[in-house]
Amino acid sequence: MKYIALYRKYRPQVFEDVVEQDTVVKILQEALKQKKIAHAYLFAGPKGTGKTSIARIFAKGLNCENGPTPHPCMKCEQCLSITNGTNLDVIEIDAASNRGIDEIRDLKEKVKYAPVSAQYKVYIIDEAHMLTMQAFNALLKTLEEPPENVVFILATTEPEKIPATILSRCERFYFKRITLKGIFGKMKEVAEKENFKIEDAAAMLIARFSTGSLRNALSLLDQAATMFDEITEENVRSLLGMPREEVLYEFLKAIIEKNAQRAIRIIRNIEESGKDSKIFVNEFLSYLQELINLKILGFDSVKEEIGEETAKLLREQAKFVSVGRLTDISWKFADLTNSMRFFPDPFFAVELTALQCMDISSLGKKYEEETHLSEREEKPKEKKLPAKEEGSESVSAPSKAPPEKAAEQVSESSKEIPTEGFEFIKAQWKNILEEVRKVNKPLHAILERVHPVELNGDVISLIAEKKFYVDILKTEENINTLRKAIETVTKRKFSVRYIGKQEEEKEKEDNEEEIKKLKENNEIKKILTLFDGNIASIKNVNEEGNKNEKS
Amino acid sequence: MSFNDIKGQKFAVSYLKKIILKKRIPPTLMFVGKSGTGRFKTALTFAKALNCKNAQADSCDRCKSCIAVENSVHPNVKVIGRNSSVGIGDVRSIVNDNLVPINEGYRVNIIDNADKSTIQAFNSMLKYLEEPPENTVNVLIVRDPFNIPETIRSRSVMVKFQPLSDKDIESYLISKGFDSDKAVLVSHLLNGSLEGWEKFSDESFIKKRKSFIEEMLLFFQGRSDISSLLEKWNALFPDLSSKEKAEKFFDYVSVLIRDILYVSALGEKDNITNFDFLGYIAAKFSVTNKSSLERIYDIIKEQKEALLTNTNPQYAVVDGILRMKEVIV
Repeated sequence: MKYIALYRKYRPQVFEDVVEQDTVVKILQEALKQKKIAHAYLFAGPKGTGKTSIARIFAKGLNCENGPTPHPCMKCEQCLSITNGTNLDVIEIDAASNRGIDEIRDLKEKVKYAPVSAQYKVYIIDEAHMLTMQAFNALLKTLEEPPENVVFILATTEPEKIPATILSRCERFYFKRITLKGIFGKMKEVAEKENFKIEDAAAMLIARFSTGSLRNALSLLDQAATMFDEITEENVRSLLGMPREEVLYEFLKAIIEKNAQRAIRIIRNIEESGKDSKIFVNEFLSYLQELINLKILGFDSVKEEIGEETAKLLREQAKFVSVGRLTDISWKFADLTNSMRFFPDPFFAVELTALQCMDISSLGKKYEEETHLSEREEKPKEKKLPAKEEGSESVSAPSKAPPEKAAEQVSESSKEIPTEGFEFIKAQWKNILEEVRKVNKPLHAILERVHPVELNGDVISLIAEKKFYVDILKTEENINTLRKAIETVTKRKFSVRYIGKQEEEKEKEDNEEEIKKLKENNEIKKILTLFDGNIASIKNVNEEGNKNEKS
Repeated sequence: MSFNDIKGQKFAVSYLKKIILKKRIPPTLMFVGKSGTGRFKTALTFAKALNCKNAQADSCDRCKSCIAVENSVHPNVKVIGRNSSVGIGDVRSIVNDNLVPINEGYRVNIIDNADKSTIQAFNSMLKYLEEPPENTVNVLIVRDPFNIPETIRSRSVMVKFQPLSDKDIESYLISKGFDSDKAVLVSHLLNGSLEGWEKFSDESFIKKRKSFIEEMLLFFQGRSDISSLLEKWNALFPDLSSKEKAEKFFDYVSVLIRDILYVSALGEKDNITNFDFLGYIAAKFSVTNKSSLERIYDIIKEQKEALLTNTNPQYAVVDGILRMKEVIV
């Protein structure tokens, strides 16, 4: 017996065989029944949804010896010859390879002749979107008013490429993608007829993978049946290179937990088992989609689509992640599907995207911290440089050490620690802070925001990032603690002096001046005497201008 | 070449053998995989096996028919797109030439580099791929199935070709006269495909590659300037068109970035392509800023996208380097 691909063997031959497309079938059948036949039809829809098949069935319905009928008999000569593709009056044109104006002229020439044996002459123009502009235009008049008993059926996957003038002359039918259920049912039916052993889960998997196209589904079934004696879910997965749900679960878990090593190991495994990176990403995206659906629509509505077990798995994971995070991850991976082809190793792109989802900069930081230690020590000094320029309350002479030189010396400080002068204090500052920490932790926290700027005799000048710190540090207890700490570390006695920032000082002065002015204001004088108060500070309270706080 | 000589493609070979034995040959097959993984050779062997009378579901490589296929003079086997992209004319030559195969054999149409076909060519194949004449099979050789129209994909059965393992490549190279040390290195550099292995038989190419990678690594540390980098790069592939060259450049960079990231962030030792620089990378890049690597990756992506349009390829390379430099500094 000659082998015919399953999707050709199981092409629907009567309206009843057609999977779904109920509206289209109903309207066409009704038209046949009422004998109201339009002269031009346009069938538009995604691949593998039955356009060409229905066009052929319709031709049979028209030409069957029992007159236009919604139920072609499949026994008469006409029906049989149309099925075989040998009918002289049903002309199937492959517009993709006959796309020029000459072919259309030829067609126009022949349209005039009456049908040879059937009632209607049917032109099926497949892949109509491929006709050239000139060809379409040449067809216009014929399409609008064809000779009697001529029917045109245009089938296309891309209706937007058909000129509006053509569209308006046709009765249009839009074909929908076939649902999972529809494909699943057909798979089971075909498997039974062909004596294939197929698991339900495997059929479902194929249905899901074929994205609403029955032709895809049947050719996959064909391939699976050739490869394996028994079509199991596992077999189909390996054939398609589809990862298992558990793998996707683990992968997302690794991303959520920011476990880079694990995420990469999972990707590596997929790569080694010879699966396709794009399929993996697509599957991961649809997994995320299901997870988001579950979070928003609830468990029950998702359960039907993906089966209870997967839904349970999803529910488990949904606890640990927010919708916002999921959409973030989804966007990143959706972008990836476009950019993947730019890389010689697409799996690396997947890995990087996974790392991006978990904040790549923190990766390997531990390692960095250890090795970067010496550089870190330099940092406080770098900070200190601008502080010098800001000026201070009572600095007499600016520090003379050029900053670069200082940095250089410190970077070598791990070996040669200077024993005298300002550099010595600087180098020891960390140790001093450590000493303070042992005694007084809050003080240590504040001192971290204070940096030594110069050494004048045995007075260390310290600059604080905020005036507020100086106020706290000025208390006698704190000064003593710091002094003691310096003594234990340096084995010498130093006194300390704090420097606040000039700007803040100025601000305060401004405030005081304003307060003085206010005091002179009559109304306020009254208020003050009335409440026996004093002006402490001034705050702006929107349009009312100044409002005084009393104490 | 018989099916047994095809290395590392167990799945594809067993599938092809099965469909011949069971006589269930789908009208259109799509061989999907990296170039240099044996897709074309397998297609030829498949054609031989279908037409060979001596061997069962394999080619004997000795009969008239097998030799004719080997020398591309067999009337049943037609190859298009081997050296140029497939146009509508090529497809028509197949469609119009569909005579009944001689010797009760099988007509095999091999469309190489199918993903480089023009869109018109694709559309003109549609009907033929779906319902070719009796005893005809079309083999599309494709690198990325997602680059070709859905309507074509849905009409064909996909046969996947896996990247070759380093071991397979190694033994192949040794059989071609490489010494074992070099074979180990080159097998890493080839990254799962035999494409372009001949280049590595030239000692000076290996040297040039080494100096380019060195320069690139220096560049990543901010210790090299653009002119010397470009100079080393231009010496590497003097005979490629500037567009191919630009694409290759970004491939090289992205592979290098991957290596750096693997070594520095993950402490990885396997799966490194620039195998000979493993030690150097580990020593010098242990503290690389990961987010700047990430930025470079984005730059590569953008430049490659630009290459798909009308960008001047040389400009794309220079622009890419300049932008990378900004990130590094």
